[in-house]
Amino acid sequence: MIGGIAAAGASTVFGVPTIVIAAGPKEKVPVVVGSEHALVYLPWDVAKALGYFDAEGLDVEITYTKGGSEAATALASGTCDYSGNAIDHAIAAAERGKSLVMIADFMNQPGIALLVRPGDRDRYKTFTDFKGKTIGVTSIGSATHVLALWIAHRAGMGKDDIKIVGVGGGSTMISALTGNQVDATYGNDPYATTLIKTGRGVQWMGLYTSAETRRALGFREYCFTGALTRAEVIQKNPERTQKIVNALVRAHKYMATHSSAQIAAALSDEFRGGTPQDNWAASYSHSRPAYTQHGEMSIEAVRAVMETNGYFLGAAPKVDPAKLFDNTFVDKAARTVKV
Amino acid sequence: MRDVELDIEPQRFVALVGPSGCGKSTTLSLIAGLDAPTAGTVSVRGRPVDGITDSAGFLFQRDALLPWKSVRDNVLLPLQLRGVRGSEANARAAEWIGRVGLRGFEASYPHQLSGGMRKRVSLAQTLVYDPQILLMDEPFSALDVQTRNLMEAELLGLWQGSGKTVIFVTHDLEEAIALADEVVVMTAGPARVKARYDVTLARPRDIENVRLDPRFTELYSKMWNDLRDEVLESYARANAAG
Amino acid sequence: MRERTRPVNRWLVTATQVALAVAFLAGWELGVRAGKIDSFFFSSPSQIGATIGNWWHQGYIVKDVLITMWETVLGLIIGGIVGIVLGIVLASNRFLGAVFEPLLVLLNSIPRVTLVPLFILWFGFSLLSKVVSAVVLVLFVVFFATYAGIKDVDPTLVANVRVMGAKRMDVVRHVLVPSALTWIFASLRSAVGFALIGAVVAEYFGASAGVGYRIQYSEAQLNTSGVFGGLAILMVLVTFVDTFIRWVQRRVLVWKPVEL
Repeated sequence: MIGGIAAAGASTVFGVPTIVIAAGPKEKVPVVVGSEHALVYLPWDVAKALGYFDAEGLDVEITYTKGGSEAATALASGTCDYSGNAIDHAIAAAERGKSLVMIADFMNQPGIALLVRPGDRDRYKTFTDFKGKTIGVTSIGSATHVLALWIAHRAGMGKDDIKIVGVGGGSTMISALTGNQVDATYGNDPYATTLIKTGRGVQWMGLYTSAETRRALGFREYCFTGALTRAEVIQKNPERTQKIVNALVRAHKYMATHSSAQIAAALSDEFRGGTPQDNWAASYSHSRPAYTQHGEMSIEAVRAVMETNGYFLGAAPKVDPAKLFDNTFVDKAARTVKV
Repeated sequence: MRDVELDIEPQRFVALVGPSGCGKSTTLSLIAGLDAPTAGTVSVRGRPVDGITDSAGFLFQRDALLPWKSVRDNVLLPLQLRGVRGSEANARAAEWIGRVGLRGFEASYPHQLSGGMRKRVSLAQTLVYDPQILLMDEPFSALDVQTRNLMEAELLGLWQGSGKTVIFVTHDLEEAIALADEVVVMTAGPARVKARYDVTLARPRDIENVRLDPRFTELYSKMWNDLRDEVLESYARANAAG
Repeated sequence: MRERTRPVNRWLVTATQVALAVAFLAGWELGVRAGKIDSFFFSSPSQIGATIGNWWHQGYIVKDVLITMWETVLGLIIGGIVGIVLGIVLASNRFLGAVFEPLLVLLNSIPRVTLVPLFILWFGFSLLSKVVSAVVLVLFVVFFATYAGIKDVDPTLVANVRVMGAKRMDVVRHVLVPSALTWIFASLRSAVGFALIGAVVAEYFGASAGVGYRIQYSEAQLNTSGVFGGLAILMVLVTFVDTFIRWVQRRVLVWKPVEL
């Protein structure tokens, strides 16, 4: 414990991110994140890679699943106490009587792009030109799926006017587009940028900035991916929850104060999901506008998600939006944590 | 088998007897063309056997009816295979089903018939296409004694006067003498022809009473001596081996 | 005094089955209402029924069931035909059989369900990848049954028809195939399950409609009722197809002695 504090102190003094092993047995904390090293969950990876969890005395083991719903299921069933998924799953869980709470919101814009093959960009002048086409999303029922239908709805199309298929998040998404299996696909980084940089796809629409979000979705902010836990975990173990959030907020601050190239260099090949450094750095620059300052949530951003999910489900969710998130941990961390 | 020399005259009923496993059944398959000899020749009507022998019929010991065909379809099958169709085929099949005493059972399936009835269908199936040579491999040994006697009588009734050559394998010496014009005794394996006996009992034979004829007993004693030596020899070899 | 073996009373059997099913469902429902069973994990019969009813009103059931059924039936037919033909060829031609049968045994040992994402990659998200997945599972079951059925044929029957004048094709048509049919029908009945698995798993990995799609969609929404609802629908489908095959079997295999 004392060794841990000393080591943490040393690293802050020198301002250089170091991997520190705190002395004494660390608490094991399993975490399930709903994607393989996608940038929408980057703070989990940064905090793990740079040893921020270790500095808090926590031995965090991250399991990556195919999609956010698996992570949410793991959280709801008690397999883990913390997860990385979109807040949409908390809404779905609330409908089934399970109370999931977002404790840090990494992105307040979707941070995804709609990609088409290079030759097809001119074929689709407006979104209505996608009528009858097949569009890929990460997986059926995911937050991306909800967005895809909402965007179509905003363009005046009904739920059956486009065909949605689940194409996964990484290489399967790329091959679905290049292999002509879908006409267009939503994708997140670093895979979207990789697709663009290798010339096999172009961005038809981006959802990274507030302006883009407002145009396509009709909202200024949109609560997307972050860290969640169960309500009872907050009650039973607020100290551990605070430590988790501390590490995540520290990751946010690190990301805010370092260049894309520096972050790319600090992450190992594994944490970059095998993407080469320069592609990764370009991806991060592409996504950067979508991140929050320090994981803070706003009721407005959450209400936006309630509305899109209401359309998706065909009925407005009955849960009280204020119960879906808790800012106390990120607020405290923002004040006390330094990179 | 080794060194088997066997000439069979046409239109005769010849019985082959010998201990089990001496090659009697093999002789039949060679004549039918189902098997080929590793050395030597098999000739039928002056020509060497090449593939299935023409105009031969085979009655097996085991049930050889096709279980998925009705009685009628089983009897029709050899006609179908030989290109006989339509009303002629139906008429011939109906005639033979009648001759073996199974009129009324045309639509039945083999599993619905008794062992004896199935044997009769097999007879009809074999005779419907009028083969000149009949090869029979212990056809009645799986039946009970009463049915067997009935079948032996029926066989003789169907064969008598037809001019067909019959080669009948059996291990039952009584059956051989009762049915045949000539009995060939084979040695224990590897088989040779040990002895041939003419059976001079009068035809038509009365299956039930022929065994009471004194000449029957005479023939039986003579042949049994030959056969017993071979049977004992065969057992001795089996015990030594086993 | 010898005891007679009495045949099983059909009505008693059915009545017992119904009673067990009712008891199971009632116990489940009561357990959920009493709070002993967490419906988040297990749903409850009433919730599942409500979900299926909801799907019926939205028109999902007809659409999804038709799509999955179509994939399953196509997979069954194509896989069945290929399996039967392959079985006949390799079982009746000794050389080809010796060459290729071990290859099929080897291929059979690959867990083909793991190949499904590959099929999606190669054949896309449409019908084709689902049918291929189903075919690949059905083919092996039917092939091995046909092969064994033909190898198992009574040689006396073959000898008999040959003496009667049968040529190669006659033997195949009149003896080998009918002999193998018992095995083939038995394998078809288990192949139905496999065809459905192939289709549903492929839908799971990439589809926009179908029962497997509906199940995955429910899972993503943490909707256990939907998952069980989808499974219930699948069970009904399998029972339906199985009954049909047994009906055909009874007509084709009419010559078989009836088993009690």
